Amino acid sequence: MEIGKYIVEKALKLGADDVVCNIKDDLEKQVKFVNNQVAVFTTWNTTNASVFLSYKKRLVGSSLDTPENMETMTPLHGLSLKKENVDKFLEKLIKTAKILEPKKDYFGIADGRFKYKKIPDSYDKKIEKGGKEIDFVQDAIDAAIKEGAKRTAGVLYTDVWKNKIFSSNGIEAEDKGTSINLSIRSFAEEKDASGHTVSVARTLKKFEPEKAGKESGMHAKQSLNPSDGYSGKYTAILHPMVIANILYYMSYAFSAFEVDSGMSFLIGKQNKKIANNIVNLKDDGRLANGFGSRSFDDEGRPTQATDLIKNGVFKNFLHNTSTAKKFKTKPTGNAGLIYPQPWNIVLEKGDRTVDEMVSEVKDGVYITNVWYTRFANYRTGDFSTIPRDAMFEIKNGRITRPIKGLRITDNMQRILENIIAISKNPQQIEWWEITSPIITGHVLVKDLNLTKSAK
Amino acid sequence: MILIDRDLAEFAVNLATKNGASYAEARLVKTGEEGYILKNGTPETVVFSEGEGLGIRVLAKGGMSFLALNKLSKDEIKTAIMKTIKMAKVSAKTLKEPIELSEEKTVKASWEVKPKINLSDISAKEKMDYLFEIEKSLKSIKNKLVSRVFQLETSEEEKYYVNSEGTRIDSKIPRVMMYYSLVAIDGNDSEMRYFPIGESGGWEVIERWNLIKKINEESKVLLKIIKEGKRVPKEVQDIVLSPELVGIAMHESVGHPGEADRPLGREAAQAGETYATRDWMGRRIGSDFVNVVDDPLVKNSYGFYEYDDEGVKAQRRVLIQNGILNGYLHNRETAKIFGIKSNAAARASGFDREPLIRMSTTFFLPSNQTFAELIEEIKKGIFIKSYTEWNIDDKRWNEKYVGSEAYRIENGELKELVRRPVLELTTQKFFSSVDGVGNKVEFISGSCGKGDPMSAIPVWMGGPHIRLRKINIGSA
Repeated sequence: MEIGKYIVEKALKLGADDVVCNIKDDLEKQVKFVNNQVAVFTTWNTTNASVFLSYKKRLVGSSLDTPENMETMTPLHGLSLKKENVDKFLEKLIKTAKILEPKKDYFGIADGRFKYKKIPDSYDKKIEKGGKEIDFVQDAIDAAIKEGAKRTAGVLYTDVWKNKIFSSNGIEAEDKGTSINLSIRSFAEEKDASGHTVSVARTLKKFEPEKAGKESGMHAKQSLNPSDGYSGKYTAILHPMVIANILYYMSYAFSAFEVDSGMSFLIGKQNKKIANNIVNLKDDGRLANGFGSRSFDDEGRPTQATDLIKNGVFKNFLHNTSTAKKFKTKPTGNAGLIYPQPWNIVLEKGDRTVDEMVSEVKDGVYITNVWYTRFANYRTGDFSTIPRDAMFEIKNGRITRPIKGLRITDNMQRILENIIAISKNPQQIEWWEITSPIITGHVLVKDLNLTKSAK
Repeated sequence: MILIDRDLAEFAVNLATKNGASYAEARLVKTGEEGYILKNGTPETVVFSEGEGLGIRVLAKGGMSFLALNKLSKDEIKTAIMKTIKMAKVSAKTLKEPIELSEEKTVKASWEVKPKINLSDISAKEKMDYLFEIEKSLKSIKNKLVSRVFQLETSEEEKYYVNSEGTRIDSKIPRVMMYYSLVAIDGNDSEMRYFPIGESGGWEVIERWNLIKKINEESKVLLKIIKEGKRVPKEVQDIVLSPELVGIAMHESVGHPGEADRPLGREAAQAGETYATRDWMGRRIGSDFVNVVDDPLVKNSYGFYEYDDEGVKAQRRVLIQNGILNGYLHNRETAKIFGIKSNAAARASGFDREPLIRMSTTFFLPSNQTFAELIEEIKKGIFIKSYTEWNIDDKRWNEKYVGSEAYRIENGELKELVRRPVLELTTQKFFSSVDGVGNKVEFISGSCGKGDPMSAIPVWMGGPHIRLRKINIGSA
């Protein structure tokens, strides 16, 4: 018998009401490069099982998707998934569940035999075969250097995974996928001149290492000798790396968990205007070539596309079965059994080119990357984030000089309200700062508040 | 816990060296972790994790390769190691210089942090009850606290480290971590508090923390900030920072930039580089009052260790001495490049992460002034006791801390609450402005992020109260 099925049946025998078991096989490789050379080649070859079970509304589990601070918890790996180890572990889980207080607002897991449709562009045999990882890195480095970069650093990942799910409601399903993603940061001669871009794909034909290398090298070269920028409110063009960062940190607020915990700035705003009319944002778990696309969520429900913001109006939170029942709405296929989560957040493309955006700005800035986004208050969405890499001043429709030393200090909703244009060429962004993919073009934002440090 | 597959680490290292690795090391790590969340009075899923895995690092032909696997059979290990040696050799072809490690003493050692109260002797119910106790204590102000999230994590980690030079180290460490976040609301106005606290040790640390008192006090202060906190215009004044603020600043603007892999560019595409480039060593960054160290041997510290994950004996590192940048945190790779010995800063957050240069407990050394003495000479100023938002650029030069609980100082006395004062300044401005240092060090905890994939590692950070003169500060 499949070990996952065994786990579910054994847990039921021990008295559990609901059981879900996910088993994931993963072969991940990474080339980390520094100063145009390979610093380390890493391989992760792992099998992980996670179990969730309820006993009279008392919930226990192992290795579940949890809030940020628990992400580091290790799963049930290394137990070799031997029957005697599994038995012992399940007995411990049930024994613990029996003495806990119930979670009164727990309302069960997905029920039903679902049909799962194949997601286009989600698996590529060539990525599984491998062997060209270092060549791709070299292509990206060469492209960056050709544009004027002197040195580059970054990572290339490939991943081949297979996920099986079994649940006490009869779900037995299997999904597999591949991905390849490159993050490259280029530096020109001066210490403050750098550019950073990514290429993120599920198949090789959508993977563009040279394009990423070229843009990062170009930004590095263009940002040579930056001078101090000025604080104030500006019309800003935000590169996809920037708006993706903001949308990524905003995405917590769409999870039903954060509504329950009182932390979301979207509480009480359903069907209310929170963004400019041109803003359409969705989560799409079935997006072709989407880095986060998967056939089913962590309780086996098929993934779907869910509107988050439609024509500027906030529409839906993201749910698992239990939170949806609590909120008297439909599940959205976003389990996390504890923490409903997005799969691919997509900002609908607009109608402009980046050049057109630049030409519209009288007095503004173009920011190409940020990091270290932190909130003063999650409930209000007040935050700041720091530009890194190339940043430019724009005057009267032209980029005039590279600048440095500024910080975006603003509010999540205010930025949504102030988006006045979106470009027509979206990119998929995922990297060290943004671990859940965002698909977005450049955006034009008015009245962006920029602050700077006292020297 | 018993490390059942201890010989597998030996097997891996022997196999690697017999098959072309000039150096090999293996870490067999077994962990048991538990996680509890109480969210607005409702318990979330209790999470138990048990795991064991092997992390193997090899050098071959000057290239480096790292392998992590949890399929712990000799066949699996053999197949994976042969591939990983091959990849080290392929990587080497891109290198101008081979990767080498500093020469270090071989060691045979064993160390552990012994808990007074074993974490496994406290039931899951007792652990969750502790969170309920905090929740119940807030009963009188619960309706004003729209978010009350208490999260407890415990972990026990056993490790066996072996390298091809003959070093063998056993270690064992239990840890306890609590996070809490609170949002107080009054009408349409709100304020947030988030605080992590962690230690190495057993359940006894919970009593020491006295969190019920702290959380109750801070909750009341949050409400008071909303009602009474006055926004103040930005102007030049003197400030006093609490150990909490000093701690985060030492971590961000001294510890991180002091990691020797940063000036070498090894973290350039992730956590970034550093203002403290090699030519900056020996340069003045602050006033004579500034002395900052990183010390893995601070008792009970959350980032405590006796030997690092390259088998080097832990030691205190002086990062800033009397205002002068004094040195970096090193692993064996950077030490070799710098022509020195490692100072034992290599840490891996799990079997599946390569050891990187990491902090342990980074803190500003105390001097001799009391808190009262620090504020008594201030005519006009602000005391920041706790913070909310913070960030810093990737060279660790432009930093920002937004005060949560903060008070106006007038003629040497603390006055009313001030709302969200923003300290936004350069690292040099910060340290050059220090002219008074308190006499008592306190620590805060954190999960420090670095590496790709992210490798969160337990650390402490801290210092005494310190005074900074003539800082441009005002409300957000």
